[in-house]
This record gives sequence, structure tokens and C-alpha cells, in this order.
Amino acid sequence: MRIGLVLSSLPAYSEVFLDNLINTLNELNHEVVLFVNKTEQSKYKSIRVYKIYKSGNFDRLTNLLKNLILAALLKPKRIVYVLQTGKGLRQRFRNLVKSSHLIWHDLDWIHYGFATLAIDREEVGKIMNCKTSLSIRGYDIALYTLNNSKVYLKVWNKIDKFHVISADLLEQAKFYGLERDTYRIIPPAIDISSLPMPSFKELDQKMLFRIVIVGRMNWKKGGEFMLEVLFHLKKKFDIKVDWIGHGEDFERLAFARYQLNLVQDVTFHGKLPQKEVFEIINRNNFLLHLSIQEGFSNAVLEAQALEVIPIVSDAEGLPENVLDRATGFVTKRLDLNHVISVFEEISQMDTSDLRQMARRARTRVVDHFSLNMHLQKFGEFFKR
Amino acid sequence: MTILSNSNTLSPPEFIDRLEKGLADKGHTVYRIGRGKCHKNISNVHNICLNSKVNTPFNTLFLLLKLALYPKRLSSLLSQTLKLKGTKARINFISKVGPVLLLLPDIIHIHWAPNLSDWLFFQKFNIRVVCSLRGKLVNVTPNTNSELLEIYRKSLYLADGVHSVSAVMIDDLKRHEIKLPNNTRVIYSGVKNEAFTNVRKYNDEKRILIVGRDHWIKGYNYALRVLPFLDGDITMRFIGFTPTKETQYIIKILGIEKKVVFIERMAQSEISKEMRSATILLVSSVSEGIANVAIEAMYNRLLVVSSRAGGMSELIAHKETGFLFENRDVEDMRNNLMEALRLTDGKKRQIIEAAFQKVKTQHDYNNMIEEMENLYYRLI
Repeated sequence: MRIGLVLSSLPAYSEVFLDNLINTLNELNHEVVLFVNKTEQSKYKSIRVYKIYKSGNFDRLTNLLKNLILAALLKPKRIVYVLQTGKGLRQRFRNLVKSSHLIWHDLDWIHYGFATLAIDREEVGKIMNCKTSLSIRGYDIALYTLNNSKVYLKVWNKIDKFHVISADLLEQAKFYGLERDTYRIIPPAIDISSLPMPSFKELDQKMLFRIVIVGRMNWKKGGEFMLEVLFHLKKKFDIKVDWIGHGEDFERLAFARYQLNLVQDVTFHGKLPQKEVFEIINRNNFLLHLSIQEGFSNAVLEAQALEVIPIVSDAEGLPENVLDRATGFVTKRLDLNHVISVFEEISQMDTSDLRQMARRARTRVVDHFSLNMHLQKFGEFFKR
Repeated sequence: MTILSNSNTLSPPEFIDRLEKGLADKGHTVYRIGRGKCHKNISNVHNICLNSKVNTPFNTLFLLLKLALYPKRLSSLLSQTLKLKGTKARINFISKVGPVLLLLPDIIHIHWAPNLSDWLFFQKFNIRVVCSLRGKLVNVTPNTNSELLEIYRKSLYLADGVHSVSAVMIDDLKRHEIKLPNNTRVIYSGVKNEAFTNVRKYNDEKRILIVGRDHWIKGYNYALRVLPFLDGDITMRFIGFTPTKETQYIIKILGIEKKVVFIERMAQSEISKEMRSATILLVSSVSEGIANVAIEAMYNRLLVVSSRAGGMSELIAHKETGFLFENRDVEDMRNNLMEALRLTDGKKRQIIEAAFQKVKTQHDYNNMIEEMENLYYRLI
């Protein structure tokens, strides 16, 4: 099948789930074509990328003209059909601009990488006579609905199939009007073979809390709250923290680290190549991941596969990623006292119980979140 | 005295605007340089506009021709310009500094410290350069950015005078081994107090007021987290910003939608009205020089509960002129808010009167202008 994957831009460093989806579709012998709003240099050599624009208004105009000319030559009726969607002239032209890079292609299936990308493009599948699907992710449901709870009502009715990454997000999608049952929960997966073998973890009381934090430095990851937790933890235990990731909140976190007197205890490594990320995760005992908003998190899966025990918040999909007290610990979101009490509980636990928990977590990830499972589930999802 | 005030903008923050206008009212010739609307001079402060429409290559050339009448100034400008890399940076520098070379004021006052080094060469012309210590670029960034720290180490001690809005900022810089000139003075921000009345409106509803721009430095996430733990029917009114996704989402997950109100924009006179009908002003900032909004609240006889961030303890004596809680400590914030909310009328009146007296003496507008003048006179 020729599948058009619609994204806002090419997958960024931290969007491993999109890379996985592209690789999975390739593995399933589908021809993948990427459609992005804006792009710089593509890292995919064998995949064609079509864009609305590269950068700047001039480029936007020339690309739009190019796309419209191609559509007028190859599929002129589709321009007319797109112009019949939406209310008002302005909205109709906006819809045409948003779909201009798509409509002149022959595709069997269009998959929107985020639900937000299907807004104003709901009719495109029908116009192009192909099946449509979309992925419902954390941002789509948790954040995009904050200002408009009815934003997806039209989308739910026009799209054929829905991929959702966690049961929690499915519940939220239902809350925001999804009534159809053509959905499938397919959580993210990781490539176990790309990971090193789990190292032996020193879980002795003296240096128990060797902690790693992995994630983009933005508010969603709860970085400032995690530093607050570490500040209180330091009063009771010896801690050593490796923090991998960078982002727009770097100064905010660096300042909190300074004010909370954690500069010696928390090392910021910045953005690292994947191999080094795995090495650093592997040398720690716990992964701290107290997100305020989180769809599912690949980093938490990777930590579990490396037998690093996750301590996560109960944001969206995280309690499905980590089974509380079976494969890690789930804490209440933004509840400092609860997080500290969990750390106290861990400090009282037998080393053997912690090791068992870590092994159980790895087994579960291998059994349920491997790329093979992913491949199988997406294979079924993209069956006509 | 001719004073050039540089805050990079023709619409400076209110505290800089007040200072500029106050100095002009005292009979000094005050020029304001920066980007922004090149409107006509407001009051008696003169504008020097640095917009890109004005700074065309033609205008830059014209400026250089005018400067050719003063060869010493021109050669100094050119030698300074050649130190910079890139044509764009050089043209920008000439258009920024050129008009000031034609003017040759007595004092150049730089309000944002990172820009200081660009202006130090004016000392050759017997012009005194004063630098203010204020804002995030002095409170926060030196602690997170070693490059800026190095810039401060190399430039601040070369200024003729330094003005700091709080004593703690000077201590912080000294802790980072940054030398400051001998003429370094703390001059507290001044507020015109005739604008305030002692008439307060008492509501049954308990309102916590938060006023400020939308920035993580203001610690609004801490303020929101305290709300579910406050006893009684309490609302939090945020004035001055549109809630971000972060704020909106935290409100949603804490389930406090009905307890928070956001008012995007409000005129200063309206803010004073809000202050007169609120119960408490909360300053949740993780970093501050001295929050001007707290000064205004104290003038308005509104009880202030603040974090101990930066210079706030120079303004508030705990339980005497307000309440202070540990920075980034939600539990301590909650305890202090509850204590403030439970004050007896007598005790509350005592605190707000003491607070009023404090700002009246420490943050008087005329004093601020006079002290700044004294700093300038000491230098020339």
C-alpha cells in the first residue's frame, strides 16, 4: 500500500515514536510518503518528503504555487472539492493551503501522526478516495482541547480508524466526543536489540539513589518539580543524578538547580547520542519521570528494559507503562509528600525485591512493548 | 545635566519610565534611546529612535558624514566598530552609538547590564557611564550562564557608577567574584504615593491577588499548587497575563478552575482598585530584585505575602510589614497565607500601617530621583 504519513515536521530528536512508526510501516512493506508542513533537511534517504514550505514567506508562496499547479494539472477536481469544505471563503482557502501538498498524489491510505493534523483536513481522505486514520497522542487530547473541547467533533466522524497510545487517552478522547469503535490501542514500542544488556545494579543502601532523568527540558516533563523532590530527598539520602536532555526550559531548570543547592548532585548532560543515553541510563538504579503531561514515554520503556526501576507520575499513559509496585512506582502528580513517601518506602525495601521488580519490568517490556509486537499490531491496523 | 537613558526600548518598563520622567521634571535634559514606536517625545523626555526603518544604510552614511565634522569622535567610533565582527553588527553599532556621539551627554545610564561594554568607550569623551543592576539578567542568568558571568567580570567594574535596585543583588554579584566600582549605590525604586488612598473596600470573599507578566520567574506554578490546600472559599486573581498551556493544564489537573480568574490587561488605576478590594497580594516569584507590585500594594494598604526571593526581605520584615515564606516551598507558602488570612482586624491593620510607613520612607518617588541625581553629580 502507498501510505501518506502526515506530520507537522520531520520527527525531532525526542520523537522516537514517529521514527518507529515510519520504520514499522517500511517493515510491513508499505511505501511511506511523508507530508509535512515545514521541513529542513530530511534524514530519510529512501522516503520522499513533500512539504507546504521550507522556511520564510517567499518559500511558502512558491511551494504553494507549485503544489497548486501540480494539483490543477494532475487532479483538478480535487481542488474544487477541497474548496467546497469549510465555512466561509477564508476557511475554504485555508483548507486548500493545508492540503495543497497532499491532494495531487495517489495514495491508498492517509495517516495523520497527531489528531490535531487532521483538523481542517477531515474531508481529504474522501476527496482522494483513500482510507484515513490518525494517532491520538498526549498533546492532542490533554493540551489541544484546553481552549476548545469540541475541536475534534468533526474529525471523529470523518476519519476511518483511530490509533491511540494508551487506554487513558482513549477514555479522554471519548470524553471529547469519540463515539466510534474503530480504534485500536497500540502503545509505543522500543527496539530491544538496539539496547545494551542490563548492567549489574549496585542497590546497596549507601548509594541506592543513583537516579537518571531523561527528557526534553520543558514544563510538560515536570523538571522544576523533580528538582524540588530531589532537594527534599537530599536532606534524607545520598543522591546522584544524571539528567539527559535539553530544551527551552534549560535556564529555568539550571536556576532551580542552583537555588536548591543541587549543582554538585545533579549533572546536566544535555542532548546525547542514543548510545550514550543508554549507557548513562544503564549505570543508574532508578529513572525519575514525574511528568505533568505525558502520553506514554519511550524513555520509561527503555529504562525498564535496562532493569532501571522507574518512578513515574500518574500522568495520562504512565500508569499503563509502569505497573505500580510491580514494575516500578507510580506517584501522584505534583504531590511532593507522596513522592517523598515513595522514596522512603523504597529505602526500606529489600535489595532482592528491588532486583525482582527490575527483572519483572524488563520481562514485561520485552513481552509487550517490543518492535515485533508493534509490527504485528500495526500490520492489523493498516489492513483494508 | 544631559542624561542618556538606555533600556533598548522607547517604551521602557514603568519603573524606568518613572525615573526618566522624574529626572526630566527636575530640569535635566533626558534622552531615551531604543527601538519601538518613534512617537513624538512624551513629556520632556526626548526619543532617539533605533528602528530598522530609520537605520537604513543611507542614514548610517549620513550619520558618518555628520560625525566627520568631529574627527576625534569619528575615529574613535570607527576603531570601536572595527573590533566587531560582521557588517550587520558594525552597521547596527554605528547607528546605535553614532547619535550619542553627536549628542555627547554628561551621563549615559545603561539599564540592562549585558549592554554595558558597548558604551564604555564613551568614557574617553569625559562622559560618565552608569549601569543599573536589575532584572533577570542580573538575578538569574549569571547563575546559569558562565559566558554572561565573564562579561560582567570584565565590564562592570569599569563603569563609573553602578545603581542596584536591591542590596542583595550586589551581594550576589560579589559572591560570583564580580568587582563593582566604588560608586555603587542601592537606590530603591520609588512610587508616587499621591496616587493612593487609604480607603479600602472589604469583601466577604477572600481574594488573593497576583500581578505580573507571564514568566516562569514569577513562580505561578507554585501559587497554583497552594490553592487546593487553602481552607475556606478563596479565589486567586491573576492580573497581567494570559494563561499559558502550562498554567491551564496545572489548573485542570488540580481541579481549581472555579477558584482562579485571569485578567489579561488592566490599567494601573484599575490595578490599584483591585488592590483595594483584595485580601492579600501574593508574590510567588523565585527571583526578584524588589517587586514593584509589592511596593504598590503596600502603598494601597494591601497585605503582602511574598517569597524570600532576592531583595524581598529588604522590603518586608516577616510578620511586621507582611509575611515571608521560603522560596519554592509550597507548604511554607500555604502556612503563611493561612496565617495572614486568619489575622485579627487589629493585627492586620497594624501590619499594613507599618508596611505603608516602610514604603513611604524607603520607596518614595522624590527620594529615588534625588538619590539618582546625587549619584550622577558625584561622578561629574
